[in-house]
Amino acid sequence: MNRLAAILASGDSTRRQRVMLAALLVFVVAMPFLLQSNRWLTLFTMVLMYVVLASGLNIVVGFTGLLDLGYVAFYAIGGYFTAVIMVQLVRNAWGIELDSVWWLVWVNLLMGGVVAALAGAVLGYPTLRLRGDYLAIMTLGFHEIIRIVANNWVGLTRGPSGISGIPKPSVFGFDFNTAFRFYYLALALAILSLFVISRMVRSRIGRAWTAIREDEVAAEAMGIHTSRYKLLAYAAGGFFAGVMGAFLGHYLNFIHPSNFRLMESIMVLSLVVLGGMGNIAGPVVGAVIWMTLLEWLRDFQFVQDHPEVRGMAMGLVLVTLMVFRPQGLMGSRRVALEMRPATEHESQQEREEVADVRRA
Amino acid sequence: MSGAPDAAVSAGPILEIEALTKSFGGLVAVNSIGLTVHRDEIVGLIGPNGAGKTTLFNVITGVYTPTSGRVLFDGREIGGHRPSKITSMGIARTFQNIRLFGEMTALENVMVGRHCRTKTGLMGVVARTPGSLREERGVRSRSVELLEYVGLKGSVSELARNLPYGSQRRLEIARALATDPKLLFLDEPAAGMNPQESQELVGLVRRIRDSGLTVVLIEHDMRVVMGICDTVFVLDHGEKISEGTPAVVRADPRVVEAYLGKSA
Repeated sequence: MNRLAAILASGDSTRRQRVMLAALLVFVVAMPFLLQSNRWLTLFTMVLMYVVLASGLNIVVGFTGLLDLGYVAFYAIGGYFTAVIMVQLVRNAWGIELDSVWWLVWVNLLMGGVVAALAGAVLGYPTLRLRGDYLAIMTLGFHEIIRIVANNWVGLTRGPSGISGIPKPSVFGFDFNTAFRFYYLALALAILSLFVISRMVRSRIGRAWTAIREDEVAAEAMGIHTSRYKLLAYAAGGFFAGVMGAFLGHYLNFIHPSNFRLMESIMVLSLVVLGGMGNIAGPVVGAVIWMTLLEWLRDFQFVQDHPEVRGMAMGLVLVTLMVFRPQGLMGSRRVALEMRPATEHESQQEREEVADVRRA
Repeated sequence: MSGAPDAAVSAGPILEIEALTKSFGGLVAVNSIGLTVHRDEIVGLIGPNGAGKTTLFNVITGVYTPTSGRVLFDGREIGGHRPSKITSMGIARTFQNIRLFGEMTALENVMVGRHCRTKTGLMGVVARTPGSLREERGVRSRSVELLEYVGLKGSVSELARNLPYGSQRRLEIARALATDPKLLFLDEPAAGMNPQESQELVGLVRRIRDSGLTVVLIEHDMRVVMGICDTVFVLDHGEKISEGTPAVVRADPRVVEAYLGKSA
């Protein structure tokens, strides 16, 4: 114990981080045993899903600096992918009993991610020349396209009726059918995702992304194929959203267009901004604090009488944060996105670039 | 010329530009310029504001596509390639208005420069294969070396945006050198430097040349240009009006006219 205290007090930041990470791990694994009710267990399962979503979006927005307002489109693609395959194709069209193909659920978790990653690269392609506000508007459009297709292509997605009957995951007869079991499944996915994301961003690939965020022209001049790395960022972000979308389908046994409203995209983006962009811990902290707060607010009679107050609280927190701590709760570095006032030097550069484009 | 044993192999000029034109709509920024840069030289590119120097840089380094004409690097046509491709072929540059990655440390800035000389892919990164770890160690040690080389040893973990102006200019040079160039373009490297800093810069540019690189620089500080350049090209209104040794160029009446206007 003394040794532990010594490590925590010492200046060795990587060892201190490891100890704290281990403590956190013990805590999240032990949590279900400490909680009294399924209500909070279900909530924390949702929190874990949003941790992954926000961390995936953080690759695009935080590390690569591409403002994406349509991220939930990839969440929808993952969800509908597994719903269509399992229910529409395997059960309804081929008449195969879903229990006999339990392994397909696990394949679909992965494939939902892969399909969403491909969609990310494809949808990203036409945005390569866009930046800032224009990019944001275009991603917003993509989100609407996916949502409207989900709502209207009744033959494929059953439109507003949604697709029900998506099976629960199971392994050799062990069913993930309780809140308790689902929590651990979500936890495993979240830990795996964070592990992969943190390795990606702390590598030459992550450096290339950050360089693009900081100065795209200079990044290209330093030998980074910026188009390729932007597409890779969209694909990587899309992948994690796709996996979570498929997970959502198997968790709820039901997929519906209203799972993927624009408000979801804004919510996920808010988690990233709240926690701190361009930082691994940021989206995690953002998701935990924010969603716990929203759930806790429900306990108040006043909030029960006026449910719209929860949305207002979200806005209030975000505005306060932007004023007092624009880098987010965990942001140690000030991340340049389109959300902060430009410095004189930058606006000068921007003007020159615009002039260049007009001349060319 | 160095007279090294392999001089015959790489005897040709490192950069040849033939009748290069770049126009933006009606504005001809670079008008049919031809010039040749020889190996192991320090070449100056001077001219009044708006002469087309930076545009010429931008065409050669791939930021703009040439309207017409050819750019031959090491005998290979590079006009129209993307900047990242040209960089990986061996041309590096700095920018007139410093473009560092402000929120990254000095070391990370230089490490980005190593990008095109490394190749670990997504799988290697996630699995942290022995090869990828070795590569990453190599990138780090080479980058530290380069920071030392330009005199920024003490600023390794400093954020680039927090560095003083002169150090930012030197960091840009270190980052460019990290791409292992054969030809280095410096766009006004001494701009905003005090006399002592520009003296140090002159020393640095000489050392870079002596290590086997060819350097082309745009510069307004005539003491710098005249002090280190082997050859100087003078541009005015998008055209080359003079070339030669600093002494020849200085005595050229067209150059004097371009800078001071026609005498009565």
